[in-house]
Amino acid sequence: MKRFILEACLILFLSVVVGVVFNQVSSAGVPLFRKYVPAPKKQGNPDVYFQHIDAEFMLSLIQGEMAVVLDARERSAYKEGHISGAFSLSLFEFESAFKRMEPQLNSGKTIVTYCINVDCEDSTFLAQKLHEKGYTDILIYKGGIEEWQALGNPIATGDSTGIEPGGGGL
Amino acid sequence: MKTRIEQFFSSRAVQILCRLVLGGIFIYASIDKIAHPGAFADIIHQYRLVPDLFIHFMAVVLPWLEMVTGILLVFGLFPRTAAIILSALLGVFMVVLVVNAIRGFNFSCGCFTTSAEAGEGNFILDAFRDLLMLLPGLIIIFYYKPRKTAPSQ
Repeated sequence: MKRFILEACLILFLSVVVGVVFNQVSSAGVPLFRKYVPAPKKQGNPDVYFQHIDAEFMLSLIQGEMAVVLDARERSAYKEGHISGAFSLSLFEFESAFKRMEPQLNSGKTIVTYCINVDCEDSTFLAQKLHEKGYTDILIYKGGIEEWQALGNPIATGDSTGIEPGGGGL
Repeated sequence: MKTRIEQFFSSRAVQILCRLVLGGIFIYASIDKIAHPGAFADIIHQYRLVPDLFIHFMAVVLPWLEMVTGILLVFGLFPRTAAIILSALLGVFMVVLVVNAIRGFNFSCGCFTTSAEAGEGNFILDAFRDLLMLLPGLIIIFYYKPRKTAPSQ
């Protein structure tokens, strides 16, 4: 019995160690110690290549470093303040910005776009342009920078993505 | 008669076959789940049995437990312990599948694939399949005899 307990503990320990290490180095890794947040349900129409997400899901994607977040606003607005971790891919200079962002877009991570608030359509237009370039399953955070800031979530300024571990709550 | 059955199940050939079958199945079953932990986490969430805080941890560790234990079993390392662990996992899976069948849930069990294209599952059939997979594990647990080395003189 003692031998069985010892061997079982060894196997379990080995599995945990290998699993945790692999999860850290894998590009498909998940945030191990964060609460699971279910993805929004996909819409029924197969021609629809994007779906809307809320602030809670957005935060889990950013904290888990599972997404490439794109700010669709003008670059000057991005510099004044943007969601921490987001890159600028302005609609107004799409082609040049897209060339710059291509390596990140092809990293295998989920793509998320946002702009000012629910009334702003730029995030949808950006998703459309990315779809024309061949990207699918794009997420759009409709609440935008206004909702994000109102909820006290991390904001960065300047050209830096300002990725911070942890971050503010919702 | 009893001795003949015992001799048959504890024979090296039968033991190796059971180890390869059970270990091989679990190695195969773990591959897709290791490659897609996010999708496996979605499946675990659908079962509504694990608290949200532990889902990601389980989605990562459980497939690796299957893989590591399967490899140990195939190579004959700690065979009885490995068989007990895998049989225990099968037991838990069967209970979970039956519970969800009773609840009326109908989604892919995530047993061998995390793909959404696997479609809806039949939990009762999956539980019956797990019951069959239990047989090689039980043979190893009850009939495995470690090879004795001759004492040095």
